[in-house]
Amino acid sequence: MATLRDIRRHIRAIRNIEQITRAMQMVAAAKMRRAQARVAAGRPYAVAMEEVVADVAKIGKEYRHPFLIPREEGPGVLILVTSDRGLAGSLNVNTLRAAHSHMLRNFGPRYQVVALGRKGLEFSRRMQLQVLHHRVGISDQVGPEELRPSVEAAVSAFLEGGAREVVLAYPRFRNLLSQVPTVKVLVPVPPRGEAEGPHTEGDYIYEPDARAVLERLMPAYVEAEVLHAVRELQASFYSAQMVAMRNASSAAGDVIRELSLTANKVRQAGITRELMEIIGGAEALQAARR
Amino acid sequence: MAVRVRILASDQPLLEGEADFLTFRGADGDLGVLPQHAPLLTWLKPGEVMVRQGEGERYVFLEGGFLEVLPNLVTVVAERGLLSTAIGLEAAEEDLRGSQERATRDPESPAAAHLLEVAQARVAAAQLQRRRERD
Repeated sequence: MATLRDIRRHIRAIRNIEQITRAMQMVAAAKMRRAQARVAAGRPYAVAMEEVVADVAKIGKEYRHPFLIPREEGPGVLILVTSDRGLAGSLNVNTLRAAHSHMLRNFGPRYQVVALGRKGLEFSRRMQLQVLHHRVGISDQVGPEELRPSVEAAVSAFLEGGAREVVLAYPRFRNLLSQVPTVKVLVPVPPRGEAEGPHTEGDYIYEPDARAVLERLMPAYVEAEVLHAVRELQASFYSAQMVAMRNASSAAGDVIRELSLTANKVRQAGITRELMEIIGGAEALQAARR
Repeated sequence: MAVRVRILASDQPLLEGEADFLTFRGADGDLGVLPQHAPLLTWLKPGEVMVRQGEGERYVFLEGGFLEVLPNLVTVVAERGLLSTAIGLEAAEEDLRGSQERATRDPESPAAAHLLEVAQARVAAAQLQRRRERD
């Protein structure tokens, strides 16, 4: 049986852990609020970019950019957006599972990866996937420039490397408790229904010309999507981490309460035993005197 | 008759609403857009977009971006931009001096040339804005 000292030492250790998890919870909460504001402010841009490109896919006829032409052959490229660190519950596991099963289904086990975030990179190495490019330590105030080399790696795998599709996977931030693993095809631009998009006769007027405009627009579209995915990840990550740390803190509290109860019982048992000994001793003395 | 317009930067929506007339700095030169304009697609040079609605005019400075015109909807997406009222002239001039130095140090670099163009356009926009505020 554990002695009182052992139990007290255990309580102290858990109280230290609780202090750490509580501090991490506070930090994550502060970062989460900023990341949430950023993802909300950036979402209209990503959505509008998607809509413009979908419009071009629908009504642009003068020049069909390679991003608008479906392919039958070639490997798949996965842009895998995960966090660098853990302690965020099942956030990365869920993203990796959704992404991996999509890629397995469509491309088999030998697909290529552009890894944004350490967890995705480690996963890709473990699965012995071909990592075309990787980037860890993306800043919280991420801008388009920071991601440009990663986007270029994915785009050139499609344009020059003959890839069939570029797929993007990230956890979409819905709210504090819910982050949805999201896997979507970026390139070739997925077709939209007939009912959606503009109903116009004829093509755009392009300035300066169709090819020049689309050769700029298409990579910018991929950049916008990847930038937004990273922001979604950041909001998701800090939310998941905050919740995980809150759970850890409250679990630590439970353990401390239980251990304190045990400690008190052990202490009380000790006192009772000593009292019994004293009383027993006193009675023995009295009996001897009679 | 008005056209719906939305101007979005990668870090914030800049302007959403209706307009009677708009002007842009397109790839082939300045262009004006009225409602029911034919579909048009171009990239934008660094500079101001003017959005007129009724008597009011609003100005947005963009470092570049893309313009899609549809008969009932005008969409502008730009990596960076801000309302012209939010540009500080002094900061813009300071930035321009830095860009000029960089462009003279490295005259071959397209990135430096682009930054210089953006900085010049921002100073021009800030000066225009100051004049508008005086009038």
